[in-house]
Amino acid sequence: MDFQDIIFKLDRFWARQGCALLPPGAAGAAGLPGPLCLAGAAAPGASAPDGLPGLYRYLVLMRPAPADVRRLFLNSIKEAGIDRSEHDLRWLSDEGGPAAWLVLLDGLPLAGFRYLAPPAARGAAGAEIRISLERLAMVSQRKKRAADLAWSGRLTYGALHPVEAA
Amino acid sequence: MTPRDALLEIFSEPLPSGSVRPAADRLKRLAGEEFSRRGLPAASVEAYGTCRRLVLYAAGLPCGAPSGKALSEIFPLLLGRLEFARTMSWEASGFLFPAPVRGLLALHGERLVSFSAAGLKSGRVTEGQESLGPRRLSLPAAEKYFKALEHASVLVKDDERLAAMRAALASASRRMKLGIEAHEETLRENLYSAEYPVPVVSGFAQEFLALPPERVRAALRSLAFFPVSDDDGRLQPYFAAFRDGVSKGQRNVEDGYRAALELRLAAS
Repeated sequence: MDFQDIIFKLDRFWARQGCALLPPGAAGAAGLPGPLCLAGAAAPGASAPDGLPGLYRYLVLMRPAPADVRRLFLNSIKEAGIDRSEHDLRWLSDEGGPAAWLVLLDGLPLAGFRYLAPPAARGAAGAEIRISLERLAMVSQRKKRAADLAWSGRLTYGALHPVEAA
Repeated sequence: MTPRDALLEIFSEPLPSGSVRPAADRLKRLAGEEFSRRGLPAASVEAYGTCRRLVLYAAGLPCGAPSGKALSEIFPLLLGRLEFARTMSWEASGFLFPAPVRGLLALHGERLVSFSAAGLKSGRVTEGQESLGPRRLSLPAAEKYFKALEHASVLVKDDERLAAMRAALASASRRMKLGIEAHEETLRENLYSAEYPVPVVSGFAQEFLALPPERVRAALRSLAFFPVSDDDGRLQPYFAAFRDGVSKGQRNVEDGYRAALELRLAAS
């Protein structure tokens, strides 16, 4: 599955869950008050360092989060071509808080999954998911180097990112 | 009437690996105290933990309405008295836990022990190993619990899980004709991060053996992997590890673990 098809699949999946799709760079919308359901691929530089590999993130924000949000995340990576039973998936608790995990796919960081404290003490928690698109695509396409990823047809990730891929 | 076993399973999203055993110990102690305070004679009270569940198992509790009523009071009380270093409220009830609670299984023999906590009603349903996909298990009786979970690739009892891990490392070691350094702390970390530990053996590039051996061992341990050495204790370019669940796609996991280790070694 091409890199861009993975983004399409994720967009469609999260749109079906009721998320509004963000145009790239509109991450500031996450600061809006009230219930929100946003998803979209974020371009390089749009995010702070998060311990994930690669330049691109797929971001999902659900506030409040449905009870099966973790399952939704697992289903979303399945849409991107990853058969859960063929890989090892671990949830590493972030020592900094009760509500954050680094998700390792076959031992390598794939995503950050974080619950957000509810606005009121007895409210429902929100959830924020950041997926490394490069890592997801490398596993989906069975490539060892990001540069070799098919972006769209014969156009590779390496051709589009000559510096990072070097 | 013949006494029956009572079971409480708190099924949640992944718990911090260091918090599971202390919570299970506390659960066992509190339950023992509460049973004797109310004059409920149990043949034995045990508590177990995995990265996804805390389980209280009280064997041989007398049947009948008084115990049923007592259990439906005791179980929510126990839940409320568990302690963790870091907790959060996940839903409107304000119940504090390190991760969202997704299920409460409570049985006494065949009977449902009915109560509400953490925004949930207790039931007779739980889930098996996550890597097999969402698989709901409905329990006909408390006594069927451990077998049913084992069939769904979850080893609930900590000591059984640990014994399975030790046996897997021993047999991998025999196959390789090399020693696996089964560090206690690393075993413990794996014990509370996999519900059905499946062994993985992989290797790393020979060139990293030029690094000081203690640095290589430290890198392996930081990833909860086990170093492999020969009879003279010389480090070999292999390691053992555990994954959770099934042994499908072992190659993917071996390659991924190797890449994770080599990244760590290259940065050390």
